[in-house]
Amino acid sequence: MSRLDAIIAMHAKDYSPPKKDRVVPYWGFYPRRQRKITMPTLRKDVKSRPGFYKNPLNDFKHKLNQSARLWADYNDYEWSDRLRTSFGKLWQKLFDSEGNLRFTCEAIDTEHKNLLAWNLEWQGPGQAPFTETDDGTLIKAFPSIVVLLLDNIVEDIDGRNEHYREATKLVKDDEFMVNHPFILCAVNIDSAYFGQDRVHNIVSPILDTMRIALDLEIYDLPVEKTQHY
Amino acid sequence: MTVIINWMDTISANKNNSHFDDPDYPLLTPSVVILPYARDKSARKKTTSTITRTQIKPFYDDRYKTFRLNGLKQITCGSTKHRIWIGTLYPKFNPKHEGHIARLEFKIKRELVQYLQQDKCLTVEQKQKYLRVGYTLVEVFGKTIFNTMLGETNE
Repeated sequence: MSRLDAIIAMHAKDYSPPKKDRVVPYWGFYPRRQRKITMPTLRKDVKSRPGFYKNPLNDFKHKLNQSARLWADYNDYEWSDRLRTSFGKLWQKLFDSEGNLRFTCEAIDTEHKNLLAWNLEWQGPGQAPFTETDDGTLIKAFPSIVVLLLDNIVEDIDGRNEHYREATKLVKDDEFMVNHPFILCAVNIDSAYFGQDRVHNIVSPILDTMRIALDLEIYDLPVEKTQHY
Repeated sequence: MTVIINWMDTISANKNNSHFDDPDYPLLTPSVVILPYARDKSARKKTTSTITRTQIKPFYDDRYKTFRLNGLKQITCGSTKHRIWIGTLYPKFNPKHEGHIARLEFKIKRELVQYLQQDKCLTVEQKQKYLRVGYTLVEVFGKTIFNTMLGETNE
């Protein structure tokens, strides 16, 4: 758009300034080769390791290191000193002076056994990172509620939607899975926007963090919603 | 819609291709990917070979033995490969970092999921098989672009 066109469009109220791309992978890489598991295996895992899912950010540095190695492996890179140092420098800025993460993650008590949820809040110091919604709008990634569905078939009969209903109540959105129909979803709970404009899309610091923390390939488990009339 | 049809045609052609069975696909090379018949004439390969000239133009450069492109221009907006494999899913695709590629992969995966969910003829197992092959292709696509992007940065 030329300068003149932009001025005309601005007067016609049909102008939006070009967006700057500020969303880059938060941890310096996009998690690859996470655990590819089936829904029954995931349910079994949640049952056998409740502590792991209660505090997913426990021992996060180790998990981050492992994920970075998997990423390097996926891209046929050697896990060299140079790569380790460059990641180390980047990650140093993402932890505070005491080596803690700049955000907290608290498990939310859910009523339904097929639903796990966490509340993630930014502690700082520094400004909370951004994430992108489906239409390209930038929103702050924190504070957010993350839900993990442990039944990826949502049916309107036989009570197979109760976990989904509880999730919609937590994130205060009925259709939060339209743009992100996978088992792990993150929704900003303090945004001026509504509906789909609060749902995280990739690249999202929260989705990446949770994928690393849970070591879970979420895109292998799409949610299927079926309606019966 | 055409873009997702192209992906579905390629998935359908490779659904029984055993090279897609391994989770980390080390045996997958351009020579073992089965290219489907291109429905759109403009999406066909430009070749004099009568055997392959009705095939779809692949997302990689098939002059090489590995998945790679000659340059990012082959896949950015305005290119033929962009029109065939990305199109309206990411109209202004011009990757600058890994995040752009991840976003593209996500958009294609989501479109595949939504397309298969609307299908009333396939069984759950068949849908899973289609998704598995589809995801592998999408990941290979992402890796092809990523490696090309790095190659250009290093030059």
